[in-house]
Amino acid sequence: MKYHFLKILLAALFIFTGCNTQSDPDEVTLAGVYVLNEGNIGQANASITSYNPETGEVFQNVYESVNGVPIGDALQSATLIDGRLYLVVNNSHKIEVVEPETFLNIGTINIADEASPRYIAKAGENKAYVTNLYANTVSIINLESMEETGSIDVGANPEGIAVVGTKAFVANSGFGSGNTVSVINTETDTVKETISVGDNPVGVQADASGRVWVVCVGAYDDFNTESEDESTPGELFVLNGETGTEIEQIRVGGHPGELVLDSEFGKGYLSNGTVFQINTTTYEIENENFIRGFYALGLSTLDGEIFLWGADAGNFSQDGTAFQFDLSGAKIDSFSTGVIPGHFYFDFQ
Amino acid sequence: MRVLILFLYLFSTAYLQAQTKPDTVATGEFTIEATRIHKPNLDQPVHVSRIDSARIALQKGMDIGDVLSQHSFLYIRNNGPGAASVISQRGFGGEQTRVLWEGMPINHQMLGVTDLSLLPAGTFSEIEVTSGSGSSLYGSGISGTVYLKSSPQPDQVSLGQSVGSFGNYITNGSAGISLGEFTFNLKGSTQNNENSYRYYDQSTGSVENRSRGAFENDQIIGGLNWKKNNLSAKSSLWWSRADHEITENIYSGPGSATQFDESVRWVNSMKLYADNFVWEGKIYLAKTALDYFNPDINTESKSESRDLNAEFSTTWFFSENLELNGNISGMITEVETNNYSEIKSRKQFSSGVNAAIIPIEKLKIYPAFRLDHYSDFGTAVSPSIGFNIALIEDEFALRGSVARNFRAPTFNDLYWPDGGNENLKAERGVKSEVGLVHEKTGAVSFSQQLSFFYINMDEGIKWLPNSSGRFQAQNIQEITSRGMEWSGGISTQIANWQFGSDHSVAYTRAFISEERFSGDAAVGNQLPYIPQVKYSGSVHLAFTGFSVMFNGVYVDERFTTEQANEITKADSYLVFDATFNYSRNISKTEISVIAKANNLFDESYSIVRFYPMPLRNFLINLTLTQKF
Repeated sequence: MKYHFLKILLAALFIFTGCNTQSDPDEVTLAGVYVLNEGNIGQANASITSYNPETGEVFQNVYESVNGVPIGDALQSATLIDGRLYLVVNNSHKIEVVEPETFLNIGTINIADEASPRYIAKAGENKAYVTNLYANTVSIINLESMEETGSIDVGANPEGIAVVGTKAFVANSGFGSGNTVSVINTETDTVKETISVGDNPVGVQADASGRVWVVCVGAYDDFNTESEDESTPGELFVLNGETGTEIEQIRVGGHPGELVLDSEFGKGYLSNGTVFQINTTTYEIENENFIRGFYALGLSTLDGEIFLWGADAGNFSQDGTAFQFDLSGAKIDSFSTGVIPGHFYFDFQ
Repeated sequence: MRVLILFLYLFSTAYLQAQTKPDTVATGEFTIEATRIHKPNLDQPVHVSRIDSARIALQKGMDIGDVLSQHSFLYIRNNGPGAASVISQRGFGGEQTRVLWEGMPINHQMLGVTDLSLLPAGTFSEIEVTSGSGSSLYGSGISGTVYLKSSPQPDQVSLGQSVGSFGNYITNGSAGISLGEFTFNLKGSTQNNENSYRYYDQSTGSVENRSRGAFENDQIIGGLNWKKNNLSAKSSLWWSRADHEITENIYSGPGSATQFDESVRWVNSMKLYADNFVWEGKIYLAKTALDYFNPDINTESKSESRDLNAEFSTTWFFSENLELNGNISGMITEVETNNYSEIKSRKQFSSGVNAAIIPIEKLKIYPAFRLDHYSDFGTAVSPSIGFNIALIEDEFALRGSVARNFRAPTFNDLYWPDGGNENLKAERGVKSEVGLVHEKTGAVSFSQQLSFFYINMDEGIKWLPNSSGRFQAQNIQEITSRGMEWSGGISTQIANWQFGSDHSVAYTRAFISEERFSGDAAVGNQLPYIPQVKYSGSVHLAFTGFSVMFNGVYVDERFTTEQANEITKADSYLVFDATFNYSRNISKTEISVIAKANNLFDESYSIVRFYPMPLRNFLINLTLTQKF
């Protein structure tokens, strides 16, 4: 070790152990299930866990093992666009671009003004949009040059984004006080309209039939006042992706988190204390206790089989645990993740 | 070259120790106040470290955290120069360590910790660090006490200017006058630090300059002492303000948050010596303001806390074999902040008694008992007992103590709007320690202390997700900490040459000892940011006005999460500083030049992971002192 001579001196008094282990990049074995571990804000201990559902093999800290440097502070989301994987690192205000097969870094997109990027979505040829939580904007990204080329003003504190045709739907959370979705024309990069939805819209998903699902978390009570409870219940808003009109409003109560959609069987799974199972055709909640609640949800399709994944963040200061379920809600497997497993990404190519 | 200097550094210590010959008898030259047992260190029941004014005077440009890191076994968790700096003692955090100024607590009422970066070293004249006999003496605190003193330097006027690397400018001055029964002293400093220091950026693999982290820090401390016959009075007023840019880790960009702190503290005391009694009354007033602003998320947190503390104590010297001290105190604290819906207040009443009993020659017993009643969470009873057995009179003693301690919940623990818990109880702990102390003065003087400690704390307060998934302060944590501390010093003088060498080593094994929730993976793991081994040492050489001092600090690897994850370990580091001093007296004027080289070997290191510390940097100080 670096200070071997001093340690020998100290070892005369103490039992002394410790060495810094680094993973060997050659040993990294990637598989189809990836857990994005947010890490603790300010500690830059975000990481990626790889899990092979066939062998049960788990590999921690994939990005750093491959690239030799930590990924950054608060890993928020991962999106595959045109054969490249874009890893949005929220509190580092950047997007790391990697080869999906190897996780080898091929570039970094820096987001200006410490805008706090959250999600990225393809918005045209060589173009993507990134929502910026602090800047109240959507960044325009040139995917070829990997540069931010401009920004579009949207509502307060945008979070989720989904693109249907030439419309990008952006959830304006307002840190709990927002209730709108901005619709951007991806051809002109301008906000075409603003749609009213429920309180605190955060998540946005587009399904295979062009509908846009907006998860409205509901407002939280203002803890600074002792007035009556001002919280509002969570809701799902279903919009027509072509017209932007409202199709359905589902009152789910509570303060829901992540929504995943199973287009094949017409089901949606919503984390809301427990995991709700929702019929995406009838818009009815079929089961309010499908499985226990999780911090993150994922849905994968492999060889025609569909699995539901849940990640438990524990006490948010130690490693989490990810679980695999079949569509009957039966647990199949579990494995350890990094700190605060916040999202799943699947690649079975 | 580097290896050579390291070798000389270590060799000099070995050489001096080899010269040690226990051929003379030493007596304690100073009494300890931090334990409330006003006796020399050799008679104390617990481990005490003392950093004197001469040592502090050399630490130009440093804060109290830097001084404690270099000259005690404490580990100081520091996000960088000018950034938040918090004590860790015996495996516990800043909330559990009582920081006292002139005997009065200065821990932040909302946060519980004391930010040492707000306390420039030059403001104080002396520091005592003790594991203490716990809450039976000073109330809330589990792991120990850091006691700051600001004693006057009468009959002199002093003015100094420091210029350091990366835009660091400090102007300081002091004046002390004795007029009959009165002594007046005033000391002040103003620091303006651009703090754009060089560091090695792990994310880019290159040497960069910190783009944020500038701060200003102004301090004025004044005192008026009066003494006549058997009556004395003392009044000390301390004003400070600091304006900081808050640095982020290297992966999250420079950030834009700022923090402004301002405080006024005033302590007044009067002492009456009558027959076998000493009566003392104290009144303490404090106002502390903090304003944190982060424009990125449009968040501003403003607070002001106000303390009024009145204390009355009497010491009865019953006989040579018995000394009794009784004290009662009352404290009112108010916190006004935009984070709470209303002003929150706490009333505290305390009474205690402690004794020094010498039942037989060479044995001293120190029982103590204290009762604290808090208006917001109830009553805490804190007994303790300590002993000291002189194995060789005035030279070598066996000592130990057992104490039941508590730590009051902070205002944020109780009242933070989203997760504060008004049903919290105090943290409770039992601390035991046993050790040896050896002191000797003569041609070669030396002292050393060795202590083994064991602390078990239950009802520990931790913010964890509750049954509904929301973070809430809970009495849920049980922590065990055990370890060993050794500190030693040696000094000698040959003709006009003076040699000195001080070292301290702490081994700490601190862990969560019981599951807090099902599947708690933290059980048994070393707590985050608690190094198992910490070493600090210095070697000092002086010759007719010239002196040079080398300091070294080694901190073992630290886990950064509860998981004790190997992947996210913070690396160990070893850093050396050098200080050169030249002083010359011309008539009654002293000219002193101090030159400091910090991080002498340009070590790339972080105390907190991804918050890099400065590479090699320099500071030079010129001070003129006119004595009357």
